[in-house]
Amino acid sequence: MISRKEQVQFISTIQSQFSSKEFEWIAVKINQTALVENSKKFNIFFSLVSRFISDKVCEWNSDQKEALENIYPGFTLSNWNKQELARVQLMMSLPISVNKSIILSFFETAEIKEQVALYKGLYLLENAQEFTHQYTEGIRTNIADVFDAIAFGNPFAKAYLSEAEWNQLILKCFFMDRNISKVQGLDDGKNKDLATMLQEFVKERWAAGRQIPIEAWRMIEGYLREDVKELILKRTSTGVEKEILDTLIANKPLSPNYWNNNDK
Amino acid sequence: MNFIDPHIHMVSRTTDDYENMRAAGIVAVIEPAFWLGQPRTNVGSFKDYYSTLVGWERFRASQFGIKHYCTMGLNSKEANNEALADQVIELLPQFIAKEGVVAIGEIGYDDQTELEDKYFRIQLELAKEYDLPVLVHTPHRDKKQGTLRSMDVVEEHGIPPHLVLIDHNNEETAKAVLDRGFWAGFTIYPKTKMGKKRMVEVAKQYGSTKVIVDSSADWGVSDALSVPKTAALMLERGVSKEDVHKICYQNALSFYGQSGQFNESDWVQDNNVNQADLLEGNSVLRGQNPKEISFKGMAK
Repeated sequence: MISRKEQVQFISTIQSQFSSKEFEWIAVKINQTALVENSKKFNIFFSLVSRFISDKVCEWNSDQKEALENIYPGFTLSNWNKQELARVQLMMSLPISVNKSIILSFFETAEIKEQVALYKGLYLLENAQEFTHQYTEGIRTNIADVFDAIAFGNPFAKAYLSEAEWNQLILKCFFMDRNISKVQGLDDGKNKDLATMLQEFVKERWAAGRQIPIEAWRMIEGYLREDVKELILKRTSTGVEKEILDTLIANKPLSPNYWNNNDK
Repeated sequence: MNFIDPHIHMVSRTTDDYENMRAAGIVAVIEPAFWLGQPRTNVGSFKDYYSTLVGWERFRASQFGIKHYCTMGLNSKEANNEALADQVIELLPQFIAKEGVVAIGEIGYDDQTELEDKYFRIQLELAKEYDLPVLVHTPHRDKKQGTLRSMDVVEEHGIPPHLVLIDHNNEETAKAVLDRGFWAGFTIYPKTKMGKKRMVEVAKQYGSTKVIVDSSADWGVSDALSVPKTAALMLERGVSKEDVHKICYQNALSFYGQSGQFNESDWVQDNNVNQADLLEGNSVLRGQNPKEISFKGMAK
């Protein structure tokens, strides 16, 4: 769980991104939303960010990257723009006694970019775990940008989802044609149930004469079933798929580096 | 030629429409909040509808290379349910403040009842408060009187005419609207409202200043390609290319651009957009092969 101290570190690390005018705008709003009696203004302030803060994508030096990764593992796996960083500051400013009801109700009316910022910001809340149900609801979205905010470079999933929920997230990646390599904590999230579901997915796709994304094997590795092994042996593969399948059959490991390089 | 359809209800249209619209040159659309045919009976239905306009529909349009914007408002028909209307008015500000909301609308009169008048005025005040233009829907019945009355009320509230678009005009209302300095919208319907041929004559008579064509296509008999089709007929019948560009693109950009939320740079690009990596997700494409959409920039 993120501590108040980590929140302060996070905020001080990102401040250099904002112009003095933007900084001033955010500071004024945060001072208001920090008070319980004004916290209802959160919705409008959150929306108005689009009018007062630029949507420029942020760049970081190596010290900043290290600091941000320490607080928010996976931070550098996705792009953050200034509007998102302004919005997560508004989220952090809400008093914990009211942040759950305010943020959950705002989720119901948020437009696409707002949803993206909301999902990216949940991990930064001191009571992040209380938002797990909303996060699993988000996995059901079909809006790609929103899904990406949930799946990629977001430490929330690995930290708070149950294994079954995590497995749905990974499966959904494949069904939405998303590349899983940017999922934070991917290799630590391998498990037998996920490998089983993915091998059913392989059989289904191959039976239909369709391809499966090669990254599926990353999550299957170590849990290869005999029936799938037989199918692999009967299959004529080429290129990267052949390289991967040959290695799997030979029971040799493929390193995270191998997969990450293959994604490029 | 590129087009903007500044009034179309895409929630009622199919992906075929989106494909055809993009192929015909439509690069951006504005979806005014309106009624759904079936009257809503609770405020949650409005909330989810408004959320759809800034959420799912925006995403759906993006998959076909079209930028989607909307206007927010309580329509005149449903303003007649006072208990519900009060709740909707309370809900509206948080949607008005969102990115890509380019006006308050469509608001105005249907039967010209007292309640319609009440909520029209409340929303004109919201437009002032949030510094947004206004899209006014004019009634089908008693149109001329309703149009004149709408303009009177706008003036009474101190909103300058350059911030107001009066829509669904015809030959009977156009002169008064333009003479008083308002923008005049013309909805081209296959059977009712304005027809394409009549629109050509209007364009010849009034020129292109503050004249805007839209389809208002929705769940009824209507045509999502009204704007490009009308443009083609205007060109064929001797309206200049410059005038057609203004009526079917530039004027909508100039009017709604006043919101600060409607910028040409949002859609001007010169590259090939592949649907699979555009705004992705196979949920709209449903396993169909994505198409290569050639996105020609706005060569002037």
